[in-house]
Amino acid sequence: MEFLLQLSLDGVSLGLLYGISAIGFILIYRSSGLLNFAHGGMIGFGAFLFFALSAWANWPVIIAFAVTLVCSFGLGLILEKWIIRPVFGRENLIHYILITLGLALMLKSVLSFVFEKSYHHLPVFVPHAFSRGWFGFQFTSFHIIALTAGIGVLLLYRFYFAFSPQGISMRAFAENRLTARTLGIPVKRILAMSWAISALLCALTGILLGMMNGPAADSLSAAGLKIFPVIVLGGINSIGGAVIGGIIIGLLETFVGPYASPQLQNLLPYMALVLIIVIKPTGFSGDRDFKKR
Amino acid sequence: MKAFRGDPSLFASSDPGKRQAQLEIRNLTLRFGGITALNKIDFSVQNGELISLIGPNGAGKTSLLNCLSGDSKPQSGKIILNEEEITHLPPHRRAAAGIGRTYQSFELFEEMTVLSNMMLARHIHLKYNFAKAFLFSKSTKAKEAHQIRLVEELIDFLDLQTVRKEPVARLPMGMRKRVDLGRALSLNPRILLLDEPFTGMTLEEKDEMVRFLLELNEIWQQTIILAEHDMSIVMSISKRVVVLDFGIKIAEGSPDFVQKHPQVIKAYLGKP
Amino acid sequence: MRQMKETEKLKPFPPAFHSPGRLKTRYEEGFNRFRTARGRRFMVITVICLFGLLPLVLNDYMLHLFHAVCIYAIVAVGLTIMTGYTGQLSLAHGAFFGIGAYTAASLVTWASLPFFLVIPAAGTVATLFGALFAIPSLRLKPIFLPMATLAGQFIVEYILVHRLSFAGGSKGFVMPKPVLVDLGLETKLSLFYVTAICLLIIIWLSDNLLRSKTGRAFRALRQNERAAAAMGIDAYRHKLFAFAVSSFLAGLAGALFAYAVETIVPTFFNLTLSIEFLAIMIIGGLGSISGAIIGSVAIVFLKEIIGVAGAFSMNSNIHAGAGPAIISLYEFVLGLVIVLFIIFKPEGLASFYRKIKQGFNRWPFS
Repeated sequence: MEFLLQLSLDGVSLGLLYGISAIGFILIYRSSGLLNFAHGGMIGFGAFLFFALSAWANWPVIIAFAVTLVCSFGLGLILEKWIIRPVFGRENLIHYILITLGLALMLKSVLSFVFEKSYHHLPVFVPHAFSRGWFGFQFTSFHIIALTAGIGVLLLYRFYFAFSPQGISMRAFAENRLTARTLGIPVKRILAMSWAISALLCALTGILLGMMNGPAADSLSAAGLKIFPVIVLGGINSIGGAVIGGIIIGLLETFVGPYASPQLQNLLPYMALVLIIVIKPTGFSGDRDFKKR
Repeated sequence: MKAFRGDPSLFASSDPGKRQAQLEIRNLTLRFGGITALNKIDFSVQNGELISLIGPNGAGKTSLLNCLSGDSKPQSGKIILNEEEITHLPPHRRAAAGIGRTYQSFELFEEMTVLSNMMLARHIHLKYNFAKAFLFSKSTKAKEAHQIRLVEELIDFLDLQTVRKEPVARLPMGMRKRVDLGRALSLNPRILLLDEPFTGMTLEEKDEMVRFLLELNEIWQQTIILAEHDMSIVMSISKRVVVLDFGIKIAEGSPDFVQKHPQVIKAYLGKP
Repeated sequence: MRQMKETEKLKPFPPAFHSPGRLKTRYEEGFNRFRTARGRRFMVITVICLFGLLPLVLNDYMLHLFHAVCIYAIVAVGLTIMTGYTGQLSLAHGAFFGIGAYTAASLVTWASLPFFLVIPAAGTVATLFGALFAIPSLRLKPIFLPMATLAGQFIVEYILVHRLSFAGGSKGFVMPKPVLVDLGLETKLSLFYVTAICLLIIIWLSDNLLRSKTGRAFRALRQNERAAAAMGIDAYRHKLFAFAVSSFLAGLAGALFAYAVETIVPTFFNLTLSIEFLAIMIIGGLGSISGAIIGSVAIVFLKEIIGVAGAFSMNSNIHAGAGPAIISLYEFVLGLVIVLFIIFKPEGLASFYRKIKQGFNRWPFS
């Protein structure tokens, strides 16, 4: 029983991390309508930058963390400006998908060239002394970080989009681009912001996932692709659904994982994806018109 | 009298039974979430009739046409074409059943030429299978050429000769409306559904379009359902008018009758 | 003023200049591939020289490259039908290619079937696997197919690497020497000829398909699905057909690949290979068969220049001849090429080819 409880705690923490990066993914999807296959690259970028700053440059953990987030934010801005904006407005799904695939290859190859494919160790910035058992759960520092980060991001996200003018205009833009444009909402800034915020969330996920497993270019870009089962489960368009989807995928991985080989464990989300597409492609909270046009 | 340059006898099948149309709509109801777009609509269309659908914005004209062409699925009611129920047929089977339509917003194939656009509508009439398509033998070529020949008649009729090989994206608004009409006609439909074909046209273009519709209706015996805003056109060309308001049929009859109907006046002018 | 002679006045242009002013007099002439008989002759001679005579004078190394181009071009032609025309994107063609290769290898090893049965069988098996992922997702929005095929890519890759221990597992599958019709040539050369003939037949069939009513329906589906349905085109059936054709061709090419390299390594058929196939389309230009061929030439030579090719010269393993650094470099360049082409030259290299062809047609007036 305790073992099961512990496993579900692991699963929920992992799932919250998936949920955070799914939020970033959906942000881009809703603002520009493209599926970002470079999500894994962005996750890896954050993780490895943090690793380089803290382990190679020996910066204090907190500073390295802050600098990583700022740099990722910048990366998002740059990618949007140089790569996405030229093709935005072509409304060509194939171009949209292929350009992010190309981007994904570039990011992944750079990371695996610089950091090679071996595993590294990331410093943990909540000391192990914090770990303790509550209600039969064994909270390690990883769980604490993942849970606080997940819930924190969700709350921030909620407030940002409900109250800040920028968030409101982003929502309006996602709802109807043409109308938003005629109302004077700055399209370029919205697009740039969605990419920047997405990159920031990716970096956060990357750092936390890296802390859990040790960052490796391959596994992190695979984590980026695991976004697809998560968002399809949640209904592609909905944030709440994505978080629930993330938790389900996380639980699935932790529960079935111990009984399967590690390769099969990595495969589980994709099997789930195929199953979801077969059984219920609208996901939990997806709107119905997603089924066809 | 030969009123058109094209030769419809070549195009329209010589068998008049293939153009026979008898449409009946019974108790049609369509809801989007909480909104009732169509509420228990009942009417019928006789063969060779030109019937108009009018009503204020949001009255449900386009929704009705969407139900007929299969783009929307009504919750209840029946659509019967020539004694066959087509209520639940998917859109692509409706074309074969004999329904051709034009769209209010352009739904043309923008990158294709006018000729290809109209050839696409001959898809259901081009009878050869995938294997023949792979080989593209002489007989296939002959079939394709025959269809081009037929489409050229329509191009002639609609005065589109000068833009035959032009991509649709380069054409002006009025011309596109005509291509849209031509594409629907190429389907050789039993019933032609026209969704606001006169919007955004100049007076001359409207004039031309009216002439096309009248020729179609009177000489080709084409059955037409026309959804339109422009009252002067509707009242002058249609034999029967159906008035919708908030998804309910409030009047049906000859143009004169409808114009004096108190509920119609109320719907349009907002006075009792 | 000198009086012009009657014959001089009516003297026609020399025949070479006739092509620009030639007019069509029958609708059937619109279906001709070549505007003039001269164009057709020119193409036939080029093809004969390229495939018939050139390999006889080339050394082994160049022949391998040629062979690779042919195999890639077959996959790319299939993708042209599906992605370029119908607008569906698949990320699993690398896996289908692998399925074709493994099917061919096992059929040859355990059933010792002849070449001309193995090739279609490999294509069929790949199509069946493809249908598993395509059938549920093709009814949905277009974004579902890339996702479903991505899952398919990983699942197939897993099966090939971990579940086929009887076929060599991750170490690779060694195929016995192919049994071909004896052409009196060295095996490699005759194999090349068989591949080239396959390619030519496939190009001919696909070009026919694309100019028929089915090809027109494909283009219509990409541009406006709603209107296509109103024209009586069954979107699902046509998309499925396009997908089936392209996965069949991927499997077929995979079988030819297995014959060509003799040892197939499962890690070769990874996501990067799938993206490579898509890159061919982008480099060559989406939506034209000439683009698919130009793109295959470009990608094979790109690989060769960077030095990852190993694939076709020695063992099939992409990792065989190259260290991880070179693979990283290749992936980076591949990604960069895709991004740059989409941004700056979305119509691909085929546009240059079209310009040259137009120049020939209009010569001397261009």
